[in-house]
Amino acid sequence: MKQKLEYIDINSSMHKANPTVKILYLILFVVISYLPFNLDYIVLANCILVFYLIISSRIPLKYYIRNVLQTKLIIIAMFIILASFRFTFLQSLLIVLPFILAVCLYCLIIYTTFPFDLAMGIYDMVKYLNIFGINKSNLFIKIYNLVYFRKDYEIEEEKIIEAREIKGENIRHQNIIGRFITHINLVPEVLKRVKKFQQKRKAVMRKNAFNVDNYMAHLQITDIIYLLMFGLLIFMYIIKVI
Amino acid sequence: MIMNIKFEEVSLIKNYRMINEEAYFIKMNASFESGKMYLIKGDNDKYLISKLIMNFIEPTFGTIYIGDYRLQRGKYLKNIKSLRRHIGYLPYDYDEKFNYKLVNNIFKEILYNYDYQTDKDNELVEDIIAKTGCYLDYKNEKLENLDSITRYKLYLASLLIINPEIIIVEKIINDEKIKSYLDHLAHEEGKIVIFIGNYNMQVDKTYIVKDKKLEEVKQ
Repeated sequence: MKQKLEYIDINSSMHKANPTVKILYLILFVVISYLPFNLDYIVLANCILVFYLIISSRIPLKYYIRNVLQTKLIIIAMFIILASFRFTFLQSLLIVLPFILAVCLYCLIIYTTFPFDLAMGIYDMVKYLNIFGINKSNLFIKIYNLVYFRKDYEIEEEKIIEAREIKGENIRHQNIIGRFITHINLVPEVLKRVKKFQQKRKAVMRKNAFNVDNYMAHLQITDIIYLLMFGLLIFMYIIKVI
Repeated sequence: MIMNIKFEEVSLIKNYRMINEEAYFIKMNASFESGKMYLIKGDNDKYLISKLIMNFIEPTFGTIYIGDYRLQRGKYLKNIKSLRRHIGYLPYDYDEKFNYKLVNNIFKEILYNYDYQTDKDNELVEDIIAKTGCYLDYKNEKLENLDSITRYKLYLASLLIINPEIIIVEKIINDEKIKSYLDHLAHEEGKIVIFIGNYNMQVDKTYIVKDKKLEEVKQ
């Protein structure tokens, strides 16, 4: 039974943090890391800050390393492309390291945020769209389905594979190319099932008169401190570069 | 072919050695012999037993012996298809898992996958349909037009068509024909029939999933 990228229920400061703020960390981190004409020490300070967030999540580093290793091909490709533009190893590292930490930060959000809260966090960021006449609860349900999409996809794909294996097909015991082709072939069928399942979920939520206003996430003091630290880095960038 | 099943010190642990480790079975021992009917009761973890037998999931520790096959962690079974050929498994969510439009396709797929001769197809299907007691024009019938009991019988029939040595059924319906046929398969033809679910029925041996182990219920 493989370890999956999913919520882990432990007690840490990052688990208590506001989900919207956690998403903001990711956005701010990527923005600060890849600002034009950036200074090395700002990028490094940014990376150290994120590394501290990862440590404070109390989730073992091997969890993050495993997920980073899944992107190894992208990391190698980044190094090769940067080397072809005559970047030194250290210069390349300052570009690749934020990418690695961004992957870790994404994992941190998933590990420390319950999917419903994550949907709530995204909703809090985009809820002002309702000034365009979008129904609040409908918007939330759409976000909720989007957050659950990966999990729904995995579950439905698993069901199809199991059903086919019961009927004598050999899927999981094929070689890597065979498995890849099978997964690609399954995409339309799985998507069809996921869509059906999500429509059912939508109907259930509507039937239960789901109201997004009944849920609210609170801001913690640590959230404000970390946000201020990111803000300080942007301020330093403005002072030094612009 | 005798296909006895033996669970030897089998443990099943999700996220082993991880922060969110979760144990389902710990050092579980059990054996299922040919020619007998079994019932497995207990909490939801009981459904993992069929997945272990089908090798959909690997045990974290211990060994599962199925005839000459050995299922272990990290042991790659090249001939998994030949093992599954001996197992007919009807999951509890069969209606959701098997997604067919025509009744004929239910049988076609399994016969094709196990390389049955096409000229004998019709004979086999008609024979098994009669044995399980669903009389219909299977070649033209659509699945959506059938009631749930007929659908159940058809799915079960499709798994029995390849004449498996081990039959695992996770949903039981109150139908005398099916019951007597499964009884006949176990006691007359020497197959292992395992029912999984919290049912009250007459079987040779009953197990219950308790304290992450399979315990025999004294009758």
